[in-house]
Amino acid sequence: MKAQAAIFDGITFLLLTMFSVSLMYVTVAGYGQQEDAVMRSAHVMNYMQSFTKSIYFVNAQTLAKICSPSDDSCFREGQVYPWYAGLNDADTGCNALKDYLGSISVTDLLKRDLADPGITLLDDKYGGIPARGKTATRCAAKELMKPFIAAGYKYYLEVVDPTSRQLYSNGDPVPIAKDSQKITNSDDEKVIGKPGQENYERMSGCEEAVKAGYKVLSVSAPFRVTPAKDESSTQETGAEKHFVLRVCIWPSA
Amino acid sequence: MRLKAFVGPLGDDFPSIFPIVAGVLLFFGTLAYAAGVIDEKNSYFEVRKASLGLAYILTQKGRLSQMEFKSLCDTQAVDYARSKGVKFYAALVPQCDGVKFYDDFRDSVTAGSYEPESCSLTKQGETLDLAEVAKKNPVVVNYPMAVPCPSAGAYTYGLGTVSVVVWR
Repeated sequence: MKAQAAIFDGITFLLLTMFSVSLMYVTVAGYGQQEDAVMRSAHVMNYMQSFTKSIYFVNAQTLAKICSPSDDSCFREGQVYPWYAGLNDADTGCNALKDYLGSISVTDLLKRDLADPGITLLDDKYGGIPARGKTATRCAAKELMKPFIAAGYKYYLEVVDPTSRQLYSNGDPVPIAKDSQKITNSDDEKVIGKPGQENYERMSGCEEAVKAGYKVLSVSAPFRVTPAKDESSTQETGAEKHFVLRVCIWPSA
Repeated sequence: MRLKAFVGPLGDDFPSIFPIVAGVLLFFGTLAYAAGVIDEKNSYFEVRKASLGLAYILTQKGRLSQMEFKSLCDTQAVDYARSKGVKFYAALVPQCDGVKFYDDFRDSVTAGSYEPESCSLTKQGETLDLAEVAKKNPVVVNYPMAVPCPSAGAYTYGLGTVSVVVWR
């Protein structure tokens, strides 16, 4: 009886040990997961911030070769990807950027595009003159967001007119030209809408992506635009306008 | 009968020694393993943190000429890496015709539109061998940067990347 009691004690001790060992394995497996997530997020944020900083300096004319016939990342089986539609056009796509002076950056063009007299619109025009700000931003984003594209992420860029200048809080996105392409690599209609649908030009892709249930990361960079004076208006125009360039990414489903 | 089964105080407890010894060995073995894994993870996190710190230093501006990169690297980045006890290799890679990323980081840091500018911190007297670095499980991060294009001396800025490779 005594021997049986002793071996029972031994087995109980072994069971307790196994329980504590399994706890140790669980702890070790979960150790550092939060730190890993924080560092991953810091890397992504720094990448997106570097993106917004670099497009301030990338000269538009250097993007002329993007989506040229030799650019494989723009085409699948000879057809341009739907989200890059138009970028391969020789007259209005990235190739058209070759005519800009070497001193004009992507952001210069974007600001010019937004400075239309009377109305703020991303339409690749400054009044009636071509100012391919949206196209230049699409070309730059297509190249610089490649690591995320390769990792299965979708990106969306929009210019937002913030409701508060102090905090650069959310506001309404600046509308794009009617039924034109958006600055994204997503073809998800829940996020970008469908040309022809009501409010397509004014949809905020970043907010729609959140509503669609995606885990969205975004970075915003404020900038100022001096709009051209509207000749038809009696009001004093030409005052500086504040905008926010918002870049969002989310993992595709 | 009871006396026959009795084999002495030690003899009676003898069978229980096996599970007890097994339990003690398992416990301390797991403890040693857990400590090793946690140490390894902590060390890897330190390297990752250092890679982020180096990246913050090198991407503080949105555009860099080769000279600016070299100066930033040789002054701030080298000191930072030294203070963190890590080695690193950083390169400013011009990608004027379009950004390319490769599976092997050695291609990413060397293949540019023209000769990339680079700097590094290695052990004193050690020459940098990227093939050797690849075996040390390095942390590699790439960030976009406006760089002179189409040549190193150009006044126009185009697409490029800053690559940072960090290891212990």
